[in-house]
Amino acid sequence: MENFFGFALPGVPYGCTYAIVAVGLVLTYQATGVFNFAFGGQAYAAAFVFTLLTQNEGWSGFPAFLVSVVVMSPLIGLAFDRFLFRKVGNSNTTAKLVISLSLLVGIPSLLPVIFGAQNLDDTATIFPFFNPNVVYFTVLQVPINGIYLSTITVTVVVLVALTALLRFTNLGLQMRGAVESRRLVQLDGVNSGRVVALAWAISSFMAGLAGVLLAPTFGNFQSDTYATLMVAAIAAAAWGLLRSIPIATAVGVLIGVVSTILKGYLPTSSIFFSAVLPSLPFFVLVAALLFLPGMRSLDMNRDPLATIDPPPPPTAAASRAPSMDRMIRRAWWVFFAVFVVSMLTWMPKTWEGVFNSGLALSTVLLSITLITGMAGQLSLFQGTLAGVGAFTSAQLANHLGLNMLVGGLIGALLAAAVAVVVALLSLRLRGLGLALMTLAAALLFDNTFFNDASITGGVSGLSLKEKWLGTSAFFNFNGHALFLLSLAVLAGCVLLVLQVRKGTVGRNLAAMRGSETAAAGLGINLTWQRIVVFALAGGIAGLGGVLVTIGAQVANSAQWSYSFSLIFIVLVVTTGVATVEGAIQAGIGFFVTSQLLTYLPGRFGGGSLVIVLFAFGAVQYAKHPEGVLEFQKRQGNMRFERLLFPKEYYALHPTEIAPGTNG
Amino acid sequence: MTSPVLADPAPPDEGGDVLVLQSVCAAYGPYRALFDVSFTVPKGGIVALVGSNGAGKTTVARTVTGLVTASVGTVLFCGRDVTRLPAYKIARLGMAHVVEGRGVFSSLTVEENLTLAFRQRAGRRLLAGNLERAYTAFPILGERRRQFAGTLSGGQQRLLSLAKVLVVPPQVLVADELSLGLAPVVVDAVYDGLREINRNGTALIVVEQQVSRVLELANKAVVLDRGSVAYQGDPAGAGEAVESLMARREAATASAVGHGDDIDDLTS
Amino acid sequence: MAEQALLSLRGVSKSFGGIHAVHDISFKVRAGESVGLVGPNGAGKTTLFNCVCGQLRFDQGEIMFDGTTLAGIPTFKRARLGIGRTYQKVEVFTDMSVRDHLMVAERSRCGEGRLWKDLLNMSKVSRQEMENVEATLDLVGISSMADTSVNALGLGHCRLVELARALAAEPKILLADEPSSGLDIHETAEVAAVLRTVQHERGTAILLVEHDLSMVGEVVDRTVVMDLGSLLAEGTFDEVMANPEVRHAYLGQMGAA
Repeated sequence: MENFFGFALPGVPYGCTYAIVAVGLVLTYQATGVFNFAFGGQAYAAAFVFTLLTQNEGWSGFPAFLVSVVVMSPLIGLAFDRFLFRKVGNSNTTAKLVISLSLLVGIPSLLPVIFGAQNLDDTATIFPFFNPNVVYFTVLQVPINGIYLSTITVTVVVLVALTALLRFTNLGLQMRGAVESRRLVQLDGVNSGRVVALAWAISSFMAGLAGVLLAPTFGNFQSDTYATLMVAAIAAAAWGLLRSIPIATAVGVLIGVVSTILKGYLPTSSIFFSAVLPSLPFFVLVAALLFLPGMRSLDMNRDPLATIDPPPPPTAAASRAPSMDRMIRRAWWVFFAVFVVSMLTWMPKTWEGVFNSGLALSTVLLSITLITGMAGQLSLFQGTLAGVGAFTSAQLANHLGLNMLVGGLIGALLAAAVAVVVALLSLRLRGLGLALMTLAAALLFDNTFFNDASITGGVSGLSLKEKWLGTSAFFNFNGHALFLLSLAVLAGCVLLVLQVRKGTVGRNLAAMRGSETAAAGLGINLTWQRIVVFALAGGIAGLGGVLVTIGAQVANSAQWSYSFSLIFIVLVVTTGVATVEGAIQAGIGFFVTSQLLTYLPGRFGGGSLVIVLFAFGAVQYAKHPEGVLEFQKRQGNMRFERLLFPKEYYALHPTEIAPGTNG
Repeated sequence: MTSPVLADPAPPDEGGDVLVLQSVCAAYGPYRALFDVSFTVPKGGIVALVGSNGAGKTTVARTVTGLVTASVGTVLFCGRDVTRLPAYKIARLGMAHVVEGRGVFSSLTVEENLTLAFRQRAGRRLLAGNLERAYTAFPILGERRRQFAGTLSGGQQRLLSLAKVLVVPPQVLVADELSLGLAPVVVDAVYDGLREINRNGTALIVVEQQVSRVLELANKAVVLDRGSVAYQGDPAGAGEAVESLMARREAATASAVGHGDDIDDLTS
Repeated sequence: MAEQALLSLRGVSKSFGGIHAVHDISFKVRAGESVGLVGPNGAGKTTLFNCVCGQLRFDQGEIMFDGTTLAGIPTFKRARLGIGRTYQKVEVFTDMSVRDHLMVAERSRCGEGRLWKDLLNMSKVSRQEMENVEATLDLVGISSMADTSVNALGLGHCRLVELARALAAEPKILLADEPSSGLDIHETAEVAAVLRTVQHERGTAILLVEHDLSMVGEVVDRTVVMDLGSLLAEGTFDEVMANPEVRHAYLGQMGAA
């Protein structure tokens, strides 16, 4: 028994840190309506600055705490509100999630760009109330030092303060009202802008507090650590239905305690220790998603006054004047022909490689167009599915000597099968619930299959043995075979997506996106529709993964970690998720931009800035939820139309001269 | 159901107009909704806002309370220009808006819904008394006070949003689609409540589909057609104005679409 | 009563956390018959609709439709059996044009969309389908807004779109939940006329929840009154309206007049 407590008690500080973040998530969700994935990023930013000041600048703990947590963190929150979330409609779940994801991805990559790379090991820290090095007393032979007491005290204080804020104060009531409809609270005389801004400041302060408190607990300082922390916190928040602060706290502490107990009792050599134990938070999260009926109705509230917002504009392609449309189509074909001919003739090898990677990535991104753009389902594991395709084909090639084309098809099928399994598990989940389930699936793959050296070849990855790529001259990689293959696969997938969109299934998907209740009431089998669309998207993602593998000659688990799934969705949604072009422009644009950035000097070079650029395209995205490129295209179209085909233009836009009539 | 118990009477009338709209135009993005709308609401008056669907009644209501900002023109509230003021500031000046359809916070309980409104409008000290009055006036809300407003039926949600304004009467009340989804017996109670707060000085703008009923209540009518004012003045003349508009519109559709025959057959 | 009941409810109950939203309701709707369902707010009318359509699972009792017992059958299969409905809180397909709303219904009536047909380009809209859709648009009187996105329509027009969509699926019974709320007097009259037409020409049975009693009186053959989840009265419209209990619970002043 003493042994048991000896294992359990060290888990309490861990558990408390999970709980603090979980409570922060609940607070942000309750007070702003945003499920703030960026909470981890905010925590990281505060800890980063705190450590920078104490360690490199030689500040003492308290002023550094003031600057990083009391001043900087709320300012970050206010900036989020002012520049991002204020512009997004209350009911636009996808936009809110994508922006918070882009911040999660963007912040940790942005910090080194601003401050330069910093070595932040051995974080000095601040512990309020108690001295960390003093053992105050022992419980059942476990020494209780200041770290325990500080963490527990802070958790309790935060728990009580926030519960009181949300449940018993007028401000809390106004926050919860504003989450549902900022306009409706205004009618009650509440300054909703101020209330929401305040909510962001408070929640961001919480994030900073958590970050600074947690830094020492985790020792080695990496943004990845914060991602793991986030999963445990999300799981705890989910068990509290993103509503109950006490339950979220309890589950958070429990996860910490159970982890250390298991760590103590399980033999270190077993598969459980290496694979299952790190995945414990995911299982807790998945269990919440599967068994809590309350998770199914998350984000289902709609702003009763949403109709005041002007309706979303039609896509650029749909609103063109016929003459303009013809012209653009012709121009597009010319452009396409020039592109293909260039690639086959004068294009330098570096740039051919860039475009090939772009085409492969476009295929992966196209799966997001299908599942998110057309079916309205936010899936955060398309990168993982691509990885399934990649590893399957690579394994088949290396072990069975299967041609990558055949192996690729099998890989795509397997990816589709995995997607179907996840779809079946999440049949009743919508919006945020589905996003969390797919995120859990991605993380689970990262921790299990993708982490297993016998499957993914460890750190160096699975190198392709070139002979398995085929015997015919077509696969001579000194020529343009890869380009032609990528182009063919992408074209095939585009055709498939367009065909589906035009047909009955596409129309049913659009109906489902509009209103699931009404779609079911008309006899549309929602379950089947979902399975079909997940399978198709999974297959396309898998094919994309295979293309990437052929191009890179290696399948590496670092290519397909969950964070890339997140980056992918941010990419597509910020450029324009409604159209097929959006995916292609995002895919090719990503690699072209990366390549261009290599010409920049020093810390601005490399891959991290490109992610930052795309992530902070989110600022634009908040203003134009149809996609940044999509918006630019429509603007450009209109300008040219007015110039070239004024007659048709004014026929299409009657309001510009003669006012139309509409209620 | 008893009729609502009411708050202290507002200051006595001084004559003049409490609300003035001057050449107001409004739009939702590219969709224009109002063209050059002008009318006034006399102090303590009741204005009925009628017209067919899409005529712009709801937009007028929203423009008055600041949910939609007029692109052209001015809105004067008690002589003060409120055209560009945000909705919450107009609300604090004494404007209330019962919105079309669901107008409650479904994730808050019934009591929290009322508390949110009463604290802001009447202050914390009067909160308990106001809640009590609301529950007396609408016993069903008292029974369900701990329930989430989202679990109420559609009609009960309407009652909840009406209770907010009937118990703490504002200077001007804009009620959009007043009787929508309410049982006749409740509609009676609501109309009684409106009369009573009007007697105590609240000016009313009532948007309503049951034209004859609202014209009975009103002492001024504004008929809207396709975003413009087609008639304003005595309620007695409004019914006729609506009829002639309808007749003209039907004739227009019949000739334009060419399928008018079957519709005529059906409605005759 | 030789005629077979199309929809029959026997002892249907549903409660939410101890509150009886619907309690022991039994009544029948025969094929081609039009029945009004009226009652005060919160009487459980919409809950009852949700039980019939499958959006809610009822606790007790039995609902039979066209010889099939409905318990355990998912919503979409009930729709395919021939149950169509409109919603009190409007449920339109955001971002979709009015015509496409009807096309979704038309296709679902003819059986499910097949993926392979889409992929082989075999799912183009046929002439016949187009004509059916146009006919329904005309019937409801919304042809002029066929290509408008529903996002740009007001509440009242959305109700008409819902009605048209439900009718395009050619149901055997139409459950209409306050179809006239948000409509002006003329549009209400048109909706009443549409309901009568589909009842008489297509033989569609109608179950109508409505607070506009003049419309109910015009459309229905029989009326059922609910209050506080229970059945209060049943009979012809005039009989029911003369019932003192009904007058007290529902009509108030208007009944007395």
